Amino acid sequence: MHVLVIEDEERLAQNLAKAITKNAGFAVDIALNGEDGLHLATSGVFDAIILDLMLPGKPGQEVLAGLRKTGDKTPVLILTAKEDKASVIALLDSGADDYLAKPFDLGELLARLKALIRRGKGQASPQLVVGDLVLDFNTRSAARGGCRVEMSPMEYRTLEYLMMRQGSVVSKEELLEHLYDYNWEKFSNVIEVYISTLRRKIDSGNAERLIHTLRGRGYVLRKGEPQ
Amino acid sequence: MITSIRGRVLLLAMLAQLLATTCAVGLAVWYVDRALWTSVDSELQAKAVSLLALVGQADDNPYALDFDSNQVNVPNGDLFYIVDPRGRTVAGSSSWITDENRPEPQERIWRFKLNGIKYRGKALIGTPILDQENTKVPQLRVNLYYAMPVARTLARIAEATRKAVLVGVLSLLVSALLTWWAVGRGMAPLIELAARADKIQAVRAEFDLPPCTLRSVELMPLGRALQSLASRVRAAFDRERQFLSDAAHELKTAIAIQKSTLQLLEQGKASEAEYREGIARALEDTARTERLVASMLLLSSIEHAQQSPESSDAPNLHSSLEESLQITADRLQPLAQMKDVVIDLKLDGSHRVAGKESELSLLWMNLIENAIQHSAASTRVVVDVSDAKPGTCRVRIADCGSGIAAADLPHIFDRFYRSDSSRSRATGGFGLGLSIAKAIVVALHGSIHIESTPQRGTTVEVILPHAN
Repeated sequence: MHVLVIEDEERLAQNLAKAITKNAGFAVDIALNGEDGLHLATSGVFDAIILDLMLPGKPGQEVLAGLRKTGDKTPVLILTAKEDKASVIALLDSGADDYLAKPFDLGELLARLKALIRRGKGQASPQLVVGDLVLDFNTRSAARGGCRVEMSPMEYRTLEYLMMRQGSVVSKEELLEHLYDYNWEKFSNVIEVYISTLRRKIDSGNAERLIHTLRGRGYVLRKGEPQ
Repeated sequence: MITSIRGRVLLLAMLAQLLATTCAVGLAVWYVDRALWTSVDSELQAKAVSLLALVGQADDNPYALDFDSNQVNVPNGDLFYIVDPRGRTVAGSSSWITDENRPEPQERIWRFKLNGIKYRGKALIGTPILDQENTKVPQLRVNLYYAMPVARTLARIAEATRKAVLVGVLSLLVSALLTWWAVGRGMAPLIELAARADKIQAVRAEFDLPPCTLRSVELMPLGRALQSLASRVRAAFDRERQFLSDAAHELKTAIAIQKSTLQLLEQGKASEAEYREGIARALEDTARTERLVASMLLLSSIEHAQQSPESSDAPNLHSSLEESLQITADRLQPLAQMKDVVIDLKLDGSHRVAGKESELSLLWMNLIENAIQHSAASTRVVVDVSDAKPGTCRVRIADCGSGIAAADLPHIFDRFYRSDSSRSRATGGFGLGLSIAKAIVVALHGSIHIESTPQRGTTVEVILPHAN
């Protein structure tokens, strides 16, 4: 998952990025002002956006309005110092998905962020299930047929994204965009390596194949034909 | 003491009205009284003369008097007595003339009481008779007394008096009611004005002039004064609310940073080095919060001091402008070196201004530090002092830095205003520096002005009055 933090307090933005990476394993990019924030947000590679309201250049409300005007559906979590009902209502009405008042609790922020991403991908439960493969979004673990699958963090991230988008074709580019932040060197063959490792850990020894490669198009995770 | 204006006006109006009514009633009664008695007297005269006409010379004796009693027509109750100068009765009876009710010799009209009835009498003393045919004898004269009861006249006078007093009292009552109503009506706009003024609240200080006020010349100034008071209250309240909201945002953000730094440490396992680093970061964040709170308190104390009238201990404090600039420049030298900026102090002569050394240093610190922070590398920040208008001196601080966008210029003195925040944030500012500088200048009765061209540089000009 790839999260954008638009926050002008650099220290706060860094703390948020660290917490998200450390606890949820998501890739995080930071924008320190509204204009950069809107520019990044409209690129469409983010699974959720954390947006501060009091921003230089372009206030948070304008960033949100600009983003929604382009038809972007990325879930947006607002950070605000204002807690009065009127401004909360105005925020949600203008397209925000959730809000947190400063000073907030990091744990709560992470929980809300994860819920927003889940909902954004059409998943209601933190337990993602495809056939007998179960991925727990909260404990960041997966099991197939009751046996725990041991994975590296990057392998887990790849599986998590495929599970979230289960049934849809996911291209290599999409995986790169959603698994790495902008500062990462991107090599598409990295994805191939992870996919083959995952396939070995999950599909080998099982009657049913779950990870499918569609040549030239990408990958799809679904209940499929027996091997 | 009557405290109500309505009561006082009513009392005054009633006193005047009472005086006028009393005079009018008195005059009316006096006039009626005089008119009635005049008519009574004419009647008496007429009756007496008609009796006198009946007195004639006796046919047998030209010196004797005769009375034609056949033609007497005296109303019942009237009394008369005709007597010749020698005391011989000519007609009527003297029985009603007693010692008590006899008129004094000089009286022609007199009043008396007989058997409980009030009379008015007319005396014709030594009157020549009208019907003297024989002129060879000396003129014959008689004394004629005529009296009639006056009960009817008295009753009419009493009646007229009663009516006059009644009308007077009624008019007094009517005018009291009218006055009460009129004063009440006249005061209604004032009461409405008071009711509206009472509703003025700091939260939504709104005051519409009631239309009735516009029609009253006397109430207009009060209404206008209330209106401007309300708008001043509103402006002040809005300013404070904005400040509170901005301050809350800054404080909450500062606390959010501290909290997230600490919570980050709490999550998962960390090595000792990580903990140490985390604590160091938390302390940095705390120091930043501390600076923010200190700046807010400082601004508040300077602004508060300039509002309170007893802050006039400053005039006794003289500080050297040059000295305070020199001290500040020395303090900022490390920062200037770090940014590769030269502070060029052009000080000549000596200017003393009224104000504390610490306040002046704080002022220069804020302005020169700003200039250095926004300067491009290898440029100069020029500070020069010159004489301005008589009694004032001018300090100019010019930098060749990034400048301020025209859109930001009107707001740069606003509290918490940050023009280009990524820069301001990076320099650790809270948007209070210029607000503090302005508050200090205002407290010193000076003025501050900023000119700026983006990418060319900024010049701050401070005008301060000389110390006396």
